[in-house]
Amino acid sequence: MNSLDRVLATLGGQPVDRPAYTLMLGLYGAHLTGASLHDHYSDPQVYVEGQIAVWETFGPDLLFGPFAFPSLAEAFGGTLHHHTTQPPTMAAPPFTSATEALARWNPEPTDHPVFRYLTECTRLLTKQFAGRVPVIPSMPSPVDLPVFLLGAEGWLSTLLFDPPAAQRLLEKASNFCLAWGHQLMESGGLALGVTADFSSPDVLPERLLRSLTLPSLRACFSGLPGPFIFHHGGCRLAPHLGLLGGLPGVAGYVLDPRDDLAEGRSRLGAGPLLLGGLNGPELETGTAQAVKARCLQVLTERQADPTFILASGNADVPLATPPKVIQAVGEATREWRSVSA
Amino acid sequence: MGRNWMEELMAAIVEAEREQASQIIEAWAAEHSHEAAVAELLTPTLNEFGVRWAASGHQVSLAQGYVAAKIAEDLLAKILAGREAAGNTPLVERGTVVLGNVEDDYHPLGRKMVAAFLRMAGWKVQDLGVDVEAAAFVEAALDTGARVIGASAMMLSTARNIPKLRAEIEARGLGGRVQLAVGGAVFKLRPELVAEFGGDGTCGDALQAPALIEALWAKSCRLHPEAP
Repeated sequence: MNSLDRVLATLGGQPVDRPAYTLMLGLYGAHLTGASLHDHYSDPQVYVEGQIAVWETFGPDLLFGPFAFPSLAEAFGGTLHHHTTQPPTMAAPPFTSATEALARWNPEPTDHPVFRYLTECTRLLTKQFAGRVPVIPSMPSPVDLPVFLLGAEGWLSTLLFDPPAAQRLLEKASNFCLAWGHQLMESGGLALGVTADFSSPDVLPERLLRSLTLPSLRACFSGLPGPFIFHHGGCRLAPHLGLLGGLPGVAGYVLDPRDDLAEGRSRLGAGPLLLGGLNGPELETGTAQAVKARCLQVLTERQADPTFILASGNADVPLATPPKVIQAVGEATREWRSVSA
Repeated sequence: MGRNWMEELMAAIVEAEREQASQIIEAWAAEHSHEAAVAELLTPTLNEFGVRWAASGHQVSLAQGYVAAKIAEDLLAKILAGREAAGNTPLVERGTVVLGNVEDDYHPLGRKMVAAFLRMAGWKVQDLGVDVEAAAFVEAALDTGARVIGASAMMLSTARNIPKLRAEIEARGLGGRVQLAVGGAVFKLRPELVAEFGGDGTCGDALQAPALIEALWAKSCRLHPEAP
């Protein structure tokens, strides 16, 4: 089985030669190639070379497009802060209010180099790994996109204190995500990774989820080809899957490392992919032995779950993570059957 | 039977209803005063809210914490306006606390919420904003006589700049006298990092910040009773 076969078999609940696994290694590609993070997050060829190095070094079963949403702020006129150890972060949001964002909305998805970069990364990755390794591009859902237009506080206060303006911005963001999501999927991704922190009860009261953000999410997902991999973002997901499970087109859920995987499966029921078990940023300070032991423990606990993929949650695996620690994850999936036999 | 003000206010906070909460506080203050509302209504309500939420196994949602901070800001603004109109002094009963996001960190929301709750609790807050270098934190503490610095970092990568702040405090001979409170999402996920990065304490959410600062301030006074 190659990685594509393994992931598709897992998606269908079919037997696999070994458990599938993946880690958020988009950033780590720059460690392997030695590229500057500026080049890594602006030149699609550089990013793809990083992912080729990732796959050749570690062999994860899923590869990801860049997980660098704050870059979107730059496309809308905001400013970024570039780092030497992490993807860019937003220094200042483009707009001060929903009204201003709606009045000055520009660009459309294909207009700005940021979007061309993200789309081109997907196209080049899927071309490089066609028939071998599935590629997941990602984008913020329409309920999270306004964070990169107004800042987290600006968007939160709009949702809480000016619901009509929030509704108008959600509609605009939904249309934008529909266009951009189509563009990303047409570039060849197997599924589209999305975050939706502002659909979590850890962020908003349920009355606003039901009246504003969940309808927007459903409308957007219904209008895209999918399938989607719903990433927990920065929030726990398992306790809320009763509310968030069953969104149209969602094939899998990446849980927060704090989540109980058994609780997640219980709330989701059989069928959808469940991804998780590891904390990406924490790998940096782990040892290969401890990480392998953790992986074997998770795989044993989930052995009766045919649609489980061992995966890292939270942000990217840090640049300073020792390669041996990352290799330990793949080793665990290869050794697991003999250990469990 | 009289109104259960605390329960009404707590229900508004649970639903993140700022306007409703404001109306409840105004109705209470009409019979008492805005200043009394801090100690007798809002503070005990927020304390009870935190206790109940923790006991239920839930975390305070971002919206609940944010609206609670806004309610505190609204109330404080009314108190300050009333004092100003009456020619009274500003409402600062305690010392100065220096707050900021550490170098390279641009996530201000949690810090702003902490600032609101500290001001409501009577602390003067010297807010240095985002991307604050270690030396700037310490100089602000020296300038203001602050015994506590509150440093916020959302992610592991930026939290790694906190040891620089610890080193700066020690290099100036201020260890113990200037206490270092740290906070942010990364410390909720990995509480062991508080000690590892040189923090003297942390708390689970912004609502608990006044209790943390009070404890650290008292610790500083015990270790170094002399005025800073």
